[in-house]
Amino acid sequence: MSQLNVVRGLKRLIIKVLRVLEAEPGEVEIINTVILEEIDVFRIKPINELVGTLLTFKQVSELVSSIRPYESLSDVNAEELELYYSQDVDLIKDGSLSHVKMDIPHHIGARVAIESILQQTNSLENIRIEIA
Amino acid sequence: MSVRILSLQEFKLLSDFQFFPGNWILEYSDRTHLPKNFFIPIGSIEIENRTRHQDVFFYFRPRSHLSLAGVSSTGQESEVEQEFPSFFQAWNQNSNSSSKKEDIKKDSGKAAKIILDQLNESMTRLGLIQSELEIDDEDFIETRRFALIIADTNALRDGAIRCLKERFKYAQLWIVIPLVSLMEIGERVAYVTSRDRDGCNLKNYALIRIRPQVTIAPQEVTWIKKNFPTETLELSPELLRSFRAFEVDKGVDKQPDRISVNDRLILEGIKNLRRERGMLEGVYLISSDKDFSRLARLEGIKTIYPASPRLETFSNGIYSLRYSLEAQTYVCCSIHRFLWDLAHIFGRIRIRCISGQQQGLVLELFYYYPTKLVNDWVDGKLEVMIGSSSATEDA
Repeated sequence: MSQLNVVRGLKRLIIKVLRVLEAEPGEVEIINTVILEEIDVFRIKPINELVGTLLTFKQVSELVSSIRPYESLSDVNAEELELYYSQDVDLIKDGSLSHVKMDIPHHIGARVAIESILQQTNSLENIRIEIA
Repeated sequence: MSVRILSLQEFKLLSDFQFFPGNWILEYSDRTHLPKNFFIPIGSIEIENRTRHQDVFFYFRPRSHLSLAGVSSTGQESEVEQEFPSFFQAWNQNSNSSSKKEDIKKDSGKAAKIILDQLNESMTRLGLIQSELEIDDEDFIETRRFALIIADTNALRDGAIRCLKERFKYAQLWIVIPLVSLMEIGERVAYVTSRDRDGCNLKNYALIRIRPQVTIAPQEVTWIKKNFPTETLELSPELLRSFRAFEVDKGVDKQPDRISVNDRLILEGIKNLRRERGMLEGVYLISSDKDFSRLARLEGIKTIYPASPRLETFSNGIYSLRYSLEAQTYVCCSIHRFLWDLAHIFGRIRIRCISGQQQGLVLELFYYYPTKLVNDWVDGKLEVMIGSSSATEDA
């Protein structure tokens, strides 16, 4: 397993796509690393409990459907809203080439990124995904 | 209903047109082939979340797209009848007695396929879905970070150039627009206008496919000119004489597409360009026409073919936010921009809120409003109507 590089309080979600090497038991090869700035891994359930673990493709597929915000949003107050939204995420909006800033809820940002990775890696074998 | 003439920016910013979480039905009406005020449902929109700055995230789900996909491949027209009963209702009202029901079913299947194709193209253009690009000699663009891209007419509307920029974020792309393509756009403007003046004819459903060439392609060309170094691929007057507009066969207009003569003019233009500039590498034709791409490859021209994923592969619907692994960034489309684009394709669209805070609210966007002035066309203004539906309509 690769070394984790997580600092609590730093708003960042890292998703590593790894291939288990059959010839060398216990070893993995990093295929892709996606770093999502401003998305806080500790504000997303149940991802916050899975930081640093290697997950199979199937486990991650099941995880996507259960992603929800850490905070309960039944009675939203200003403080909770601050935690719910990531701040000023860079993105391409409405087909424009220039990036704009936008607030994306942490759990939605994580969900769509993981879905994109699953879509791209669904044909590969021996894949593990690590969330950091 | 309250009626306003608005630009996209005004539509986005005015408080009357802000959206809150809820479910909406999306419908279209088109005076060229449907009775007046007759709307056909084409999908649903689920608004999920609202950001602090009034942006919303939403799912779009085309109406029964899986079933329709089955129809297009297997020819089971009866399923179209179930999924699009309103088509039959409209056509039966308007068709003459000699029309056979089987012909109507066949046309309905074709129309459904055209609608899905246009929805697919719209979502690619807006970044909601991404085409997979099949590129000859991809390493050249990766390493040299340069390419001269000649855009086929379809690439001026289907979002292929936007996908290309997303794929090669740091490459210097020069876009060359063939004069033939601009002439085709001009011809199609005339064609759509003449069809529109002829009044409602059910066979005119094919205009849904052609209209974006008239309404969207000019806007896309403007966008390309703003964002890339751009030039026009000129042709010698001798060659231009062979340009073909829409053909007339036994007094009946044929649809002005797939004209091989015009494709030939583009290929010859590319060969001339390479000769004039001494460029053996880095010149690409981008086209979503498979046959044209194959022909170009046979003649030694490198091609970029955008393969767009089918809507039916998105089992949960298409979400308004996605993460692009190539560009390493999020890509988002606003609900306002999405509706704006659809109004350009269908001429007139309507959304009705069936649940949520805005239940009963009805919004209509109309492209061909009678008082549209030249500046309104240039600015891309639409007539936007807002009101509420009666309880009977909702039921």
